[in-house]
Amino acid sequence: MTRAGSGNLPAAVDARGLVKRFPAQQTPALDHLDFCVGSGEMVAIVGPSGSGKSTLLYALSGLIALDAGTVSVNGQTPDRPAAWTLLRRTAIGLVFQEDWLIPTLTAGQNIELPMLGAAIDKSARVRRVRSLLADVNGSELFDRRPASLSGGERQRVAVARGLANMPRILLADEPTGELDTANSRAIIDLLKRLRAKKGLTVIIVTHDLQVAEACDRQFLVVDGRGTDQVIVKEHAG
Amino acid sequence: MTPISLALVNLRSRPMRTLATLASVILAIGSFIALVGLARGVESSLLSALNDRGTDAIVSEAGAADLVSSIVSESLAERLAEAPGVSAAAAELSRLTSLENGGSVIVVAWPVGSFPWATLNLTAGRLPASDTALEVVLGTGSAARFGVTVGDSITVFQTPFEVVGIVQSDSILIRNLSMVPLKVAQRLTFREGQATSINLRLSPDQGPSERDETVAALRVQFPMTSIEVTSALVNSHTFARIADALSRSIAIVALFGAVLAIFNTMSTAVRERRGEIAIMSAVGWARSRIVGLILFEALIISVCGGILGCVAGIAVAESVSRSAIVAGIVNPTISPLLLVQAVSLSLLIGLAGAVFPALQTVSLSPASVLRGK
Repeated sequence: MTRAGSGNLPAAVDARGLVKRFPAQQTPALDHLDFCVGSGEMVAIVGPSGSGKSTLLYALSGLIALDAGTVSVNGQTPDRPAAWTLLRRTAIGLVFQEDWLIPTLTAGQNIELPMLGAAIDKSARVRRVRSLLADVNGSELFDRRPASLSGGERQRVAVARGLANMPRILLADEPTGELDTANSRAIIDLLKRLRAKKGLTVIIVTHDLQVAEACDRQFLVVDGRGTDQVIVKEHAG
Repeated sequence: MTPISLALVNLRSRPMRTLATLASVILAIGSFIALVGLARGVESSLLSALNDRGTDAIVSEAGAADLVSSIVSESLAERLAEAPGVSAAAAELSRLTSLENGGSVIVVAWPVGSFPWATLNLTAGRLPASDTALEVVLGTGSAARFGVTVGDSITVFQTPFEVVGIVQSDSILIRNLSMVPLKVAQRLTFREGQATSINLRLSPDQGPSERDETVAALRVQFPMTSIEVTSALVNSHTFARIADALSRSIAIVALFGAVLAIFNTMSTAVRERRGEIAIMSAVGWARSRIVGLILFEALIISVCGGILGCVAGIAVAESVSRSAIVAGIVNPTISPLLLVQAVSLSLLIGLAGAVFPALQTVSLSPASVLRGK
């Protein structure tokens, strides 16, 4: 079993011995998987369909319960759902393949949504929403509803929502999966720019070679259902 | 955006469903207000009528379902009047009789010169001159309904009576009574020597406990009768009890229907909004906050429905009380306390209907929803 390294950087994410079994599957989706990402790194998790890479991302965000293993985020090891909720509210931002914007809310309100779960007053929320929209080159989208946005615009709004509570870590699950090449490139450029500006740690699940190559390094998950063999390989970027 | 505006946006985004649910809550609370208000109106009408005529206790047939179906001997009044603690006794014959126009009227008869006649507040005319005169005194409400005044004639018990007096009263029941001499009523209804009840006026120098003692002593002295002070009589009156039981039964059904409507609405909302709920969880909303949002949406519907239901209930109760069949018998009694109870009930309806769907959100796996599995 190998464990992904992060060089000399302090670990933003340190996952050890992750095991996850789904009831409908005979073999585990994650099988004693170790994964470490240094602070400020931009890492792509790559692998074939069904290899467990998205499962790994959800495990890193506490959205699925593990059968075994620990995940530390910025030195904290949450052990309860409520602790994970708090981490997602303060330290982890999430972006998904589908944008999951709420259709009845404007783009601005969608970005504001995570802040309603935090103790941020209304004027500060609006200021931050406008700032985030500016960061994703979407200032003009503030009052527009998702139905009126293009795919690229929607995903930029989703990225802004992922950053709403100013997390230190951004986890993205196939963020370009439903975009064309030009929009994919734009999203990746955006993530790289935000990473540089905000000092983010960015972990992206992708099957897009272009996206993977844009990251500092690639972490390959292959057939996570092995037994006592090496099931994870790390590739240099 | 605030949590409140978010809840309002969610409700506005499904307007037809929200309005349908609101309508069911309005229906439930409106039914509750109207039915309970009318039932309490029956009780208060009866009580105020008895109080207005100065009756402290009523003697009726033991085991009779209500005062109208009770039968006692008229002569019982003389014996009761001589009992210790009793200052006056008056036999009464009560009948609910149909009118030619399809409506109904309560006719009461007392011996001419007895104390119930003396308590009446005449605004025109006079009281019946003798026990055998075909003369009737009408409450102002009855006079207005029949369109008659002193000197006119009306038909009661298929017999023409001359209207000789009009009386005013704070009691809606008395305002809508037709009052005739006892002997005449007994003859026309084939009940010579009979009464439906005996009105008792107790000695005025008695306190409440002494009155209770007097009534207790009368019960021993007259074992074949039922003797109740007026307030207790109203509570045990079969008509009032039936009205109360019916109103509560129907109201409970309506309230239960509203709970189901809220449950259905919020269950559907939770199913339709699985993605929204999952994303809220993913961006750090605590489960309690998500549950709170669902409950809050239900409470908005139920509170609005409760307030509008109160308005609708008052309107319906007033409308029913003016209908020909019950006009003059029931005046809805809708107190501020009843309105508070109704709005509180609507809150409970909202919580009861939404709590399970809200808790369903806790069982959702955000990861499976967001991954489309």
